[in-house]
Amino acid sequence: MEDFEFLRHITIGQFLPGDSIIHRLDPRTKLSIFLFITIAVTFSVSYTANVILVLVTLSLVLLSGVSMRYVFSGVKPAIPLIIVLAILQLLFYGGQFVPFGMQTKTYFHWGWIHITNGSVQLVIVSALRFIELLFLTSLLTNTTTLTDITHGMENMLRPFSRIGVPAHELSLVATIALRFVPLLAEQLEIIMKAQASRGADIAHQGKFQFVTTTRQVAALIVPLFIDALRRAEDLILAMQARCYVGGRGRSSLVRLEFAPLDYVAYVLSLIFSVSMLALRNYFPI
Amino acid sequence: MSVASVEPIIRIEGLHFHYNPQSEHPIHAIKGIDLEIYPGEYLVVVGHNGSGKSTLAKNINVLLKPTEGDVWVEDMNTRDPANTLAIRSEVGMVFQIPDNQIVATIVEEDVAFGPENLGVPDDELQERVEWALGVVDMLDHRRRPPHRLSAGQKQRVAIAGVMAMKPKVLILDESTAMLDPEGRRDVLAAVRQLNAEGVTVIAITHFMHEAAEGNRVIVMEAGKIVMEGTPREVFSHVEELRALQLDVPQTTELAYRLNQLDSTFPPDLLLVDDVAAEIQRRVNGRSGE
Amino acid sequence: MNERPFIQINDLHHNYLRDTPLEVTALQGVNMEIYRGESVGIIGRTGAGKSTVVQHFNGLIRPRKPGQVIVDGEDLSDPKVDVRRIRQKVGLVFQYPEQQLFERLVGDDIAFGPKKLGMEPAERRERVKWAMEMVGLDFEEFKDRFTFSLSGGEMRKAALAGVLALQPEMLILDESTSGVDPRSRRELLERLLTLHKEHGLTLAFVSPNMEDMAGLVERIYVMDDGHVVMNGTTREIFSQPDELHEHGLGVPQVTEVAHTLIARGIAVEQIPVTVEEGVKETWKILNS
Repeated sequence: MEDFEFLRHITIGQFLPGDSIIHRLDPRTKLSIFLFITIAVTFSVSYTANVILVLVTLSLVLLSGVSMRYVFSGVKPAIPLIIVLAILQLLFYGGQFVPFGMQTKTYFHWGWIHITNGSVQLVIVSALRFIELLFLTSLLTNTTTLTDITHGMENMLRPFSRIGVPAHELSLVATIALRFVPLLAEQLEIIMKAQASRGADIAHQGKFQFVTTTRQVAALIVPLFIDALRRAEDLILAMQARCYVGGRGRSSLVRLEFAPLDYVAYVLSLIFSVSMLALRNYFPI
Repeated sequence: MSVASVEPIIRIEGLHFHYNPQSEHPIHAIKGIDLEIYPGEYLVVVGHNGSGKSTLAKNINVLLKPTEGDVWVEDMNTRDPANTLAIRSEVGMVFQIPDNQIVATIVEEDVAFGPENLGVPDDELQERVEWALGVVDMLDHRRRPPHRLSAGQKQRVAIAGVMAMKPKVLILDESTAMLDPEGRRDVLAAVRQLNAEGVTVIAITHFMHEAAEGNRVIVMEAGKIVMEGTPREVFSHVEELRALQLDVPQTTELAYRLNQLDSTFPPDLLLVDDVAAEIQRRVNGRSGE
Repeated sequence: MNERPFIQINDLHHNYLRDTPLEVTALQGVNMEIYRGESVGIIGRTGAGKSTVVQHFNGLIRPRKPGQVIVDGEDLSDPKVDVRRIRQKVGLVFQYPEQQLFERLVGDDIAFGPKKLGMEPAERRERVKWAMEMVGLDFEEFKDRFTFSLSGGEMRKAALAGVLALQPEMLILDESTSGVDPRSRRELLERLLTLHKEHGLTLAFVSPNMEDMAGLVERIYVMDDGHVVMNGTTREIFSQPDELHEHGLGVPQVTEVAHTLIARGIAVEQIPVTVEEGVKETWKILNS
């Protein structure tokens, strides 16, 4: 059955109300946790490190009470891309990628194709890192309202506004982007339905659409882009009419305050991240 | 109180506006408008698409500047950049598409956006937000995300967001065009309430039956004002409005057509109750013979 | 009527965002029938479920058990049904033309449907010409214009032409007059009426605006909260202003005048739904 509903599959940015420890943390704390652990993920290339990271991020998600099914449902549209990427890595990166903690062992070699234990490790580690980032993103966006995220970001960047970082402007950009993603998704759905109504081959029988022609994609992107641009124009007028002139001199309705739990979470995640970085070359494989 | 004894809050003198004035084909959208708008008025501007009504509105809150002529808001000239912010905080504008005016992801934070921009002190912000949401009857929805609201509710939030800046003038640029009857009803009620509290309202619309809300109507065509008067005065000119490709409210059309069949029937009725009352009067009068 | 309905909907249910924490029920057991050659209105406030229902008519949404959707004898619960054929028979025009247009040139966009039907270039051209004529867009003038450079009204015509080019047997208009100025709206409604009367096109017209319905549709389904709450001829429906009000809807002013008269004890023979009828009725009352 064809299914046009994209909003079902976009789990990023969807706040799910709840009362877990994670929900109650200050947004700055969650942003910091996100940042610290993402850095740890970025520099972790070994199997061991990634197993640890998957377990840690997994437990955090479980702590937050967000259903696993929901978190993974957000990945579905990306799966074709992931599989293609994985295959490419597996086939072509063997020659360039030295495996962590092991001697290179070639499993198969023919022309450009180079399957080694290095490329295998790359594929598996990439998959794990992807899952870790997915968990982290869900952790942040499913437990924190969008406004809180942007207030947190703005708050954290504010000290840097003295050296020219446009803290409020950036957080406003983020808010607006997050606010309009669901709207654009709805719009895309309507565009696809409208084109399907005229006979376009929009949906295939399978759930995974590996091949869509460039033409079909262009036919969807153009109206969507125009819609996005129109909204942007309207929004600019509205913001001007409401006297927006940038971040200087603004007051704020929302005020953020740390609780003891935040300090604990902050310190723990910092220690964890620093440890992962410091120990990254000492893991066996 | 005679309106003429009070100073106009907005003065438009000899206004001309061109889109793309430097290009090969500038569009002469406003071709000479003189208009005075008085505090507390409810002015309705009607005209079909392209008549320049929206362009006129945007010249008032400095989203556009005149190519010729002057616009004065409370004795501040819109050409002077130093006045822009002050003018925009006195003249608020609500646009046509509800979603494209809402910036924040929670209602009360969006309403706070305007006053925050003005640097209203933190403790006063809360008060203003509550007051504004109360006026449009959306206080119960203060913590909801905008995309869960109906279009009519979103527009009321947009109005609250503008009113939170405490402007003296509220401009509605076709703000009911995208709404269903219920949404329209609620928005008009909110606007009526604000006008009753002294806010000057300038409503741009192509819905004739909304024009009946105002105490003055101006009709625009090709960048000029072609008719002006009370709603009843303007709508009684059914043929002229037709020639301008505009509708009249069904009630007025009915009255007009009946007047053509019987010249004693008043042709300029506007409200449903007035038409019904007139018909009833005649029926009773006749049965009294 | 002896013939079977062109569209038959039985006990239709639908939820959006199914299986997510944000699941929302859009339809709760809807029944509808539309016969060939009819002109039917589906009205209701926003969120009533009107768009959801009509998107079943052309298979954009497939019915979930126990709901049944049968279009021209074909049961859409059957996954083997050729949905493309259904979409040729049942054309759907969306609210905003920008959602539907995508080709660079107007002519190409209108030709999209016929192309998908496998028509030859010469035939296609004729079809596009015909469709453009039907909506009042001059073929030579507009066929090579950039689609997105058109005015709002022109885009609307182009979008309609694009659907008409499939020569559907039924046309559904989903809130196509929302936000449109009175002149353009009148024009559009007149064209639709012509298509209905002279070309036998079955029409389903979705809108929250009563005044649009009056001159155009013979029968109305009123929806609210995922149900069909009222169902009858246009006149029957407009005779119940209080109930309509409860469902967030109004009646045309002319009809309101009649109801006010009735409330004040004056007999009105036939409830007027257009100004024409209003004038006639009033004249009768004043001269009886």
